[in-house]
Amino acid sequence: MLNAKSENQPKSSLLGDFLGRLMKTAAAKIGVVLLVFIVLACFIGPLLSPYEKNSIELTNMFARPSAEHWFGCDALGRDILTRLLYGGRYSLILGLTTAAISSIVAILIGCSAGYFGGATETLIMRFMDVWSSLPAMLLAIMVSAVLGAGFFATVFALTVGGIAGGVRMTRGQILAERKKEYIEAAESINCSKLSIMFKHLLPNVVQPMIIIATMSIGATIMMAAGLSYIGLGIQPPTPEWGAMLADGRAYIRLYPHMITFPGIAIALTVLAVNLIGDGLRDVLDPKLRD
Amino acid sequence: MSEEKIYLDIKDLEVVYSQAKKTVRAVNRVSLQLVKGKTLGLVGETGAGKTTIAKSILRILPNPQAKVLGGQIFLDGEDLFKKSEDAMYDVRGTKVAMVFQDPMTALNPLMTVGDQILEVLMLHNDYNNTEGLKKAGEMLETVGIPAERCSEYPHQFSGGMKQRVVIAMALACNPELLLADEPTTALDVTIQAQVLDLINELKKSYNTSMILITHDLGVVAETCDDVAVIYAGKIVESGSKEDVFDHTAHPYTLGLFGSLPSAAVGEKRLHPIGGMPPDPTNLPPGCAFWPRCPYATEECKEEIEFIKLAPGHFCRCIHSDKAHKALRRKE
Amino acid sequence: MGRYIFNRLLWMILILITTAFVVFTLMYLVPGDPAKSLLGPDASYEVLQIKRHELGVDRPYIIQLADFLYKTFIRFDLGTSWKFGTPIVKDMAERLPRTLAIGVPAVVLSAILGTVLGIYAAINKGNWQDSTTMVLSMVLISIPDFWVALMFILLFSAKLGWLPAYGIGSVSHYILPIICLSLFGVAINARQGRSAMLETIRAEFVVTARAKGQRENVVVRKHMLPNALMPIITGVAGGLAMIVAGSPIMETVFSIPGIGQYMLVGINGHDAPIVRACVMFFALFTTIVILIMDLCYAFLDPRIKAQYSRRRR
Repeated sequence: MLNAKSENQPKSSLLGDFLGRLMKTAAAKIGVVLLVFIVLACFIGPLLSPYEKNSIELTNMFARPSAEHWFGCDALGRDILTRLLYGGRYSLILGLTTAAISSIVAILIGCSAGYFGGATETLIMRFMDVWSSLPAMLLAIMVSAVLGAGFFATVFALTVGGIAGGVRMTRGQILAERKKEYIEAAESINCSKLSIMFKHLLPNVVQPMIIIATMSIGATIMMAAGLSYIGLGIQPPTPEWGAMLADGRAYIRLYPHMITFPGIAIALTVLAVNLIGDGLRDVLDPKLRD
Repeated sequence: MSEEKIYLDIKDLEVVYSQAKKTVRAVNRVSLQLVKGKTLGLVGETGAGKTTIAKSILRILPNPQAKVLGGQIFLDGEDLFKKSEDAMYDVRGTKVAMVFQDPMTALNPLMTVGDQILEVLMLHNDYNNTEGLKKAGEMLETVGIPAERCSEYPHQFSGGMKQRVVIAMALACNPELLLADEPTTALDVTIQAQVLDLINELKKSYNTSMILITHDLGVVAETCDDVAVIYAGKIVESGSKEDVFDHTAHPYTLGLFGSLPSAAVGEKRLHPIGGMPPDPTNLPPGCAFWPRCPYATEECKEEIEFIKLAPGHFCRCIHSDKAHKALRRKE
Repeated sequence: MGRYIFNRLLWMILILITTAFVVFTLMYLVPGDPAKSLLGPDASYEVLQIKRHELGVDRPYIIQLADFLYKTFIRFDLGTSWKFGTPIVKDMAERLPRTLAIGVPAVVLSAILGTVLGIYAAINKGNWQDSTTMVLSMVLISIPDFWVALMFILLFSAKLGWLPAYGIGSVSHYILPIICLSLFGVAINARQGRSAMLETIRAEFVVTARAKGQRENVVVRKHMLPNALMPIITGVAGGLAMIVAGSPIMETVFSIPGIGQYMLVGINGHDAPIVRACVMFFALFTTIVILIMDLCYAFLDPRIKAQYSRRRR
């Protein structure tokens, strides 16, 4: 007699399963590899470079790409590759910080709205509707105009742009979860409101938020570059990629290398982040597909 | 059996689904026969392959995920797999029709109910628009819905009424074969009874042959003449209703009957079948039920063929006698 | 239905008023004295005071705000530029057609091309058409559109000399901006269209239609497309809003004197009236687009239509 045991059941460990599925997509694999490469390049690269990010050497003005200066030099003779790598730090940190702050703020606001309900909720949601009626970029431009250029100003400006969507999602999620029966069950055994919030509602909100946050990093990096390009955001001499594009605009005919490489840098970074975001979303919640 | 006409003859049907590099063996060499005018109940758990069989008859399996690897399906003598796609258009909806499981999603939310019935009518008949709409209204009346509701949209109907619309759509062209895929599962019990009665009546008036897919043995008892029990894509027992209900042979079927809640005095617990349904991408060798079977032995790991227990009653188990004795002892 | 439209219009006005409030406050907070930046740091106090009075910035915040709201919403007078002294409405009227001449074709192009690509990819899921479209849209989404603009200028203008690099003047001046602006939209609409179509393809009612004996191309046309249309409309409307947002930068790259560039002129010149007017315009544009989108939904989907006609009873 053989025992009636389930020998053919698939085994599953949650984290292992998750990572396994994430890395299965060729896309996500490329994204992760690319991002790791970029991060290493930007944080360790400059240490290995023989050039300083701001060392002006007028003899090298507009030098074309060569063995000494792989990506050439800019209008002030500074090595473009080194500046790119330094600049990458700003873009990456900008992207990450903005995403993190927007997410936290959005969760806080969304949770308060969804949880307290009633007049508070209506007020908050109406306010959010107005907020999101303006495209993020526009908001960012305006806030930048008030605060001027600079790293923290830019983070603030970009965060302002990004919050509305996050709040809407959070509150929607909270509303959906609140109706579910396990919340009723928790309340029926006298779970405190606060503990319901933290133990039950919050974890369900965090997951989609992670996806949205990751997918927004790419957009943030592009908006930051855009801001710098038009003169807000982060300005020279800081080697921000968008600012480098602005520098090169005037010399597009004669020295195209000045705009080619910063653009490629932006594109690759955003691509890497987007690929990872896509992979994450496919694994965690395919329903969020746009 | 040889007196009556065999209307549907499925021989050794094999269907697989390819799902992200894994292959799901949904239907493993299934053979079935349906006599004209009779109802065959196809019983099994979710995922056992029942809907796949029905969709294979109509050849509406999702393509490219599903592939028919082998087998033949004869409808009234014709090999359906040899027909061209164009020829199949003259089979679907008119010779063979299907009632789908979930009425909520089976109807197009953007089209009126009347238009959806009209669609099947116009595909297979030569009516003009007015005649067609009139006929659609008549179909609605047949299922107990006022004809004026033709111009309403699916969301304006309750679940039970939606299912009746789906039935009206399926019967609109007087099909010879009706495939009813769990037509009452999504409905509550009182509506279930109504819909079953409706199906039975219509079946009698049109002399339709029917395959009723279900996991509910009560429904089988009410409506079916013959029964086939399917497990992990294979038929494990088949025969007339009396054969299967009164002379149950296969341990799985026994388990199904045994797990029905009993209101008898002294019953304190439910008796489910132990273990879990098998992973369809990794089926156990031989009889797929042996991991859960209390009578399993080493021989069960080999391919088991159908064993004839009585005329028309087949079972795919070498221990059916033991199982039967155990049942006798209980009673 | 009429009631619904009325409600939405009311809501739109509320949004515009709030936006006016926000933009006015933000510009109020911009550091710097407009009088000083116009007259230079050496101007005397009296001259500055006269200028400030002329511009109206010596009044308290509330008064200025009220004045602005009144002028904008009741008199539709968008004020006068601080720097140039010209009535802003006149400038906007001149610049608007240029922005629209780029924005509208870009939206139409990206909507049609993107959606068609997306649907095509969905129908051919798993094949090379699908993968290529997806890879292409992923790339297009990740590349900054103003950099593509620069690259295109480099290629088509500097190297090949086919198209002009900046300014306006002939139809050919608009070709590059329209193409560049539409790229991102094509990608988004392709992805959106594909996922909308995929969902519909897997829908049960599609299987039902086939089971009735309906021919495949009719199934696609009659059953799949109408149901896939709604998410697609969302995508298109979203693209429109994004293009509005992108115009300041794109107009800068191509030196096109449109409204986006006007806004930047205002920002760089601390010219609050200009910025306020531009933002109000963008807000108005976006809310109208969203209103039209909602109306399309109500029109297409009987379930939504029912929601709003039921209110009448």
